[in-house]
Amino acid sequence: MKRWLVLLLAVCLLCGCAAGPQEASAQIFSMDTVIDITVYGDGAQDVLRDARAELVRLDGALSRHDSGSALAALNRGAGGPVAVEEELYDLLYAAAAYAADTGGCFDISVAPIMDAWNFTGDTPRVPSQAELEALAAHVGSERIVFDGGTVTLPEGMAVDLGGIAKGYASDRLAALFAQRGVTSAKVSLGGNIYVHGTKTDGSLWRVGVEDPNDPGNFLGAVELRDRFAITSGGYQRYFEQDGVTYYHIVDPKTGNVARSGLLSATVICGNGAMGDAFSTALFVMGLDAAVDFWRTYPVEFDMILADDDGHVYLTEGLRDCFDASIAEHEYEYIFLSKE
Amino acid sequence: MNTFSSQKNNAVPRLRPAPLDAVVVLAVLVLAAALFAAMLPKQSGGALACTVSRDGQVLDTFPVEENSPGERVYGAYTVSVAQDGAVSVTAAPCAGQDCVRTGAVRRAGQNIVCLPGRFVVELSGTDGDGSGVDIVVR
Repeated sequence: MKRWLVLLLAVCLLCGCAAGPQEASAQIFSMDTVIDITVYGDGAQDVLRDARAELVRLDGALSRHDSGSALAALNRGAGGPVAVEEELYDLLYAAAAYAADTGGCFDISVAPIMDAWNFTGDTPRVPSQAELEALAAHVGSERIVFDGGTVTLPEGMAVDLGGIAKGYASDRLAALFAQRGVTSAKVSLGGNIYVHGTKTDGSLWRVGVEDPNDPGNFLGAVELRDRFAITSGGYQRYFEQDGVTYYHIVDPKTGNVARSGLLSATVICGNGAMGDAFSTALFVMGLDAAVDFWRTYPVEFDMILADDDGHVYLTEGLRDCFDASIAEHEYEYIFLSKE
Repeated sequence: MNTFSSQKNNAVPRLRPAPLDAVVVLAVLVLAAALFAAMLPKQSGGALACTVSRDGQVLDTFPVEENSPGERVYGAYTVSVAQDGAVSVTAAPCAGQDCVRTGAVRRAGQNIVCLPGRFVVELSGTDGDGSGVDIVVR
């Protein structure tokens, strides 16, 4: 009799294990992209609900094209001080700092130039050089004045947080997961990735890095936990005119499409907003300046740079967690060191 | 001491395993192995499958297999599966055509998105060559 009781107990325990952790996932259209979130563990559904609410809140607050947003109000008030709430103030301040750090290769005040190109609209166009030069005169985050709770944009300037908002949103989700004790979750904000903790079996998340030459394949995969991974590349959003391809990433200093010789720049780091800003900046900088920047910047991050000549450059921190074996095409992989 | 020892021997149950104990152990092991195998697909998926959705509502889910090419039409969108199992959006009503330009996807975790139409094609499960990717940065 006892042995059958032992068997019954074992069966109950195993069934409990086999039920596995709770899983809740959602696909959300917000922040001008599609967002996929999957949360595992107890209370996953509640965490997912709160994550969705946070994204809706951020979309409302940070969208330049929503006339009711705080950011739209700031742009309308260019030329004078505008009181903004702490969160927006801090994000604008961080964005201006990243602009300074990257020598203007990332700059949120590039908004009027992006409007002129109209990359996301139905009728993208190539602005004249004179038009770009006139618009570029209004670019320069260093001229934004931060004073207590007010922000002053110079006359004629407009800011757009599209180059940093998704990264910041992933920071917010990471904080939510940590606060709620989540140990396993993954988020994709239009391809901006955050992986939280580990998979439910304890193994690391395996993040595929898309091949800019063939987006159906990978440059490789990197195994991560608690990391943000963000790529900038012109290969998915572009238009062609008179036989010339115009990618959607522009050099804020000139207003022209960035043609730096890089096809994609991926940043892997512990801060989503920083990674978002830096991926754009590195793409604009090009290989040599990007490597110099990585070597001297005081905050640690890793990067994967794919150039237009079949080379993939990876920073040394990825040496033990990058797997190139899944790449369909042949590349020369070069690891970069700090020296 | 001898008396105590004698009482202790009487109280201790017989420890030698009986044949039925082995049956119980074997049953637990078999059950554990079966349940472990059942748990494995939780985050690695099964065979490669394609899910087509619009505005978060699933329109269709179908297995992706090599040597089974074809086209599926969802309103103004056409989703094509090539001979090698590559999935692409070959027609879309949006002006930008970003989803068409995305080209073909072949691996679990990849997707094709038409933002204006909120139309999403995504692959899940396990791709044929076992890249084992959980999520894709692009």
